[in-house]
Amino acid sequence: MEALLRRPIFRIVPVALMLIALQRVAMDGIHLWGVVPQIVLAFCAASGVPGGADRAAWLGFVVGLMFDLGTGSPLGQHALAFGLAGYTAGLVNVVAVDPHWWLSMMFVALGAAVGEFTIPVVQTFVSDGGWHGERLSTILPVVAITSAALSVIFIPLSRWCLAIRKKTWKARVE
Amino acid sequence: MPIYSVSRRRAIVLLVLSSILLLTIDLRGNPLVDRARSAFATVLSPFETAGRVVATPIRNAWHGATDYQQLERENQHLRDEIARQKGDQLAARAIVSEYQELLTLNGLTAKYPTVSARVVGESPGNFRQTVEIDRGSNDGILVGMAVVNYAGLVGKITTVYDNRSVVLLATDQEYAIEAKVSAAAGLPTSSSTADTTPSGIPVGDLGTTTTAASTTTTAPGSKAPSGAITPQSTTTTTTPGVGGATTTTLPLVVQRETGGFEGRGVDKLPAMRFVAEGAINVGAVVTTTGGSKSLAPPDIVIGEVINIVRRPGSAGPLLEIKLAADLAQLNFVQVVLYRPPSEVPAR
Repeated sequence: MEALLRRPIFRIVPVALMLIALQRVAMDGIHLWGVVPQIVLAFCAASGVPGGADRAAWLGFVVGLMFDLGTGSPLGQHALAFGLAGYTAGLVNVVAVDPHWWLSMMFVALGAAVGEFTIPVVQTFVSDGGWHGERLSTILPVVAITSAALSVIFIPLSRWCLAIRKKTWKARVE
Repeated sequence: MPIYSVSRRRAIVLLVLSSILLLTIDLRGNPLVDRARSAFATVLSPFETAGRVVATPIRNAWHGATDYQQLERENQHLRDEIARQKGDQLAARAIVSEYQELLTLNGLTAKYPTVSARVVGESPGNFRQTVEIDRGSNDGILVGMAVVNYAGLVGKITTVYDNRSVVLLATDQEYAIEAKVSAAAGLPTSSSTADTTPSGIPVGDLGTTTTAASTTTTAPGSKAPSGAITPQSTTTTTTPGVGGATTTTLPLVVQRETGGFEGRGVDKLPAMRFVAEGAINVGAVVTTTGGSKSLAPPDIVIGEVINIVRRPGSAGPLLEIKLAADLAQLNFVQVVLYRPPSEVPAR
């Protein structure tokens, strides 16, 4: 039973529910330059740092599906966006075995930007919503920077969700 | 590990294909997906309640820190606005009352029941303008119904659950509705009455009736036909034996244009297209047209024209509309329980 509860899915689902609820009820009134910070996206991107690209992609996919179900957006839209965000941020492990905090933050920001960019791209294909060209230049930096800032909390949280132990060794610096 | 290893490539391909598959299933309309959404909403509900309890003080602190000065300015501005509107309100009430009487007399009155709802959440994303309300199918709400507040049109219902619904705001790029714009920019701009009747004889006794909607001139002892509606009408009545004449000049502007109203996203004003060149002035009121294909009943106020963008060729002017309802400050709304015929599924 204890081993079962330690499985990532039993940790990811309640955490995702809480984050989606917070995104819906708390973040709607908090705007930075007219942009709503995306905490669920930030969590998915941050999971790439401890989990790597593959695991983060699947975590993003599952959390994105839950987000789509909860917000009424087309099923699969945020699943794809959050999955890509996690995948992109997870590529940090290809660049460095034991990435510095600033490198992790940069990749989380990059992942979040890729994820946020995917949403209007998918929207263009599936609905009548037009391209948000000019506004994207404000949305992407704000979402990327807030996600990078939130990664301080979300990297340890996603490590716990994915049931990954923190590295006890340090990469040798030549 | 290289970036493009086989397992990694497989993961990304699977992710994309799964998403596309789900999108296709959902867009074609699937009752299973709808049930899943409804069940998920029920699961999410206690988390939202808890989240609201935790988040409210944080949000208040945020607004206190960032919006204080703006609120003070807005408060000042609103006080001025209220003072100005008190006078307008009295005049408008009289006009509305007369209008309702006329509609009743002509058998044109149409009232639709409404359901009041509280706005409980805004769009969690940056690309869609939606709000969520705390009423759903249990209260008779259906997809496609118009949502209004006391100022005017707010949007339409796009998703309905048992006890909540999602409202697509009129500013969203996906929102479009047929609308009409009256060429009359508010009240008549110039109206002069030159009373040349000798003193001692009231003008009312001369039997002259002149209204902005129609012009009727009746000399004592005879009946004149109704005058045609023209941009400017001059009525002259001469009373035999009295030697006086009443000349009334009223700008009778009753041109009306219909077109398509559409939202253009959060950073642009909504616009109205397909209207004729030259007929409309800034300040003209935009309302819904109603009809079998319209998403809302007729005569719901949408807003006013604040800018006219002239375009070359046959495109016609683009009217930029300031919405009557302040969509950034929605607290309570009303859902009009009128389902447009176009939204009723075919049997």
